[in-house]
Amino acid sequence: MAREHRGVVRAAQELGHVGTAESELRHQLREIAGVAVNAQLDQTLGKPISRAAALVVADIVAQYVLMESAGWIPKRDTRAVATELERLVKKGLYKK
Amino acid sequence: MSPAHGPIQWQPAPGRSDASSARGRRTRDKILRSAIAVFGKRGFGETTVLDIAEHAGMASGTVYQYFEDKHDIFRCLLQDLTEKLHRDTRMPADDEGRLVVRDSMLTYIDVYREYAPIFRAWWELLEPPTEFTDAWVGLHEKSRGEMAAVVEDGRKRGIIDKKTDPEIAADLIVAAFERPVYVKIVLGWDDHTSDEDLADVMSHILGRGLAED
Repeated sequence: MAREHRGVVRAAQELGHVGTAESELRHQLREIAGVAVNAQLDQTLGKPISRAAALVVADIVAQYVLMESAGWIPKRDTRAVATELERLVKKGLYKK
Repeated sequence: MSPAHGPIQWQPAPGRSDASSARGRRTRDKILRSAIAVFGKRGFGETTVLDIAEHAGMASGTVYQYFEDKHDIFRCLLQDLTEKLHRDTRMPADDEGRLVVRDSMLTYIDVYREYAPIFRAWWELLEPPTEFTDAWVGLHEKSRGEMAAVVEDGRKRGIIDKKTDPEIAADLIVAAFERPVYVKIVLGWDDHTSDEDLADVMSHILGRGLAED
């Protein structure tokens, strides 16, 4: 989706500065994303996670798509990125 | 990524003072301190050289003796800060090669808070791309490279799953450090998440995952 709406991702970054209406809208969208992530992860992990954790996961996704959309990092296979993110969130970076 | 993404190299523009005298250095430092304060309060876009001069208690002509414009001032600030930021926000690994996450996150938040005005201005200058975007990408490329090396080392030591892609993991780790701190410190979306909460979450994600009890 972010690739399809790359211009929106970049424009949101350009316009969403401190104190702007666009920034407030992004704040609200982050809240919504946090709730959605929370519900999804509760199911995936089989246990409730904190609101802070859900927001961090939503932030990681938001930052990653900005980094890719702006060309700061190479475009990678989406499934590979999703797999790594799932691994980090569920199992962490290190083996148990 | 192109090698052009390097650190900012600043030097006085033609015809500007190089602040070689002690008095000149004091004046230039005062301008830079005022610029940090005003950028933090008004953001980069809304700041004028006159605002900076007024904050410093000097005529705008004095500011122009040292700098061409506010971009030149910001360029000078970044030259001083980029190396320091990279050094101060580097995440160490322990003897077994595991990243020391919680303390690193708390340090990162402190550094971000200390330089919040610079980060605020810098984020504003990322899109559309400018020379400051290049400096930003360069700084983060360095961090991503180091992080990818840590993941690669962890795979060799057998403490990180061999299936982990070092490059993608490094991108995600950098994203995980950057944005939550930016929204908390610069955008002020506190959301009742304390510094310690944030550090705990990162410690889990870069430790053994959120599924762990």
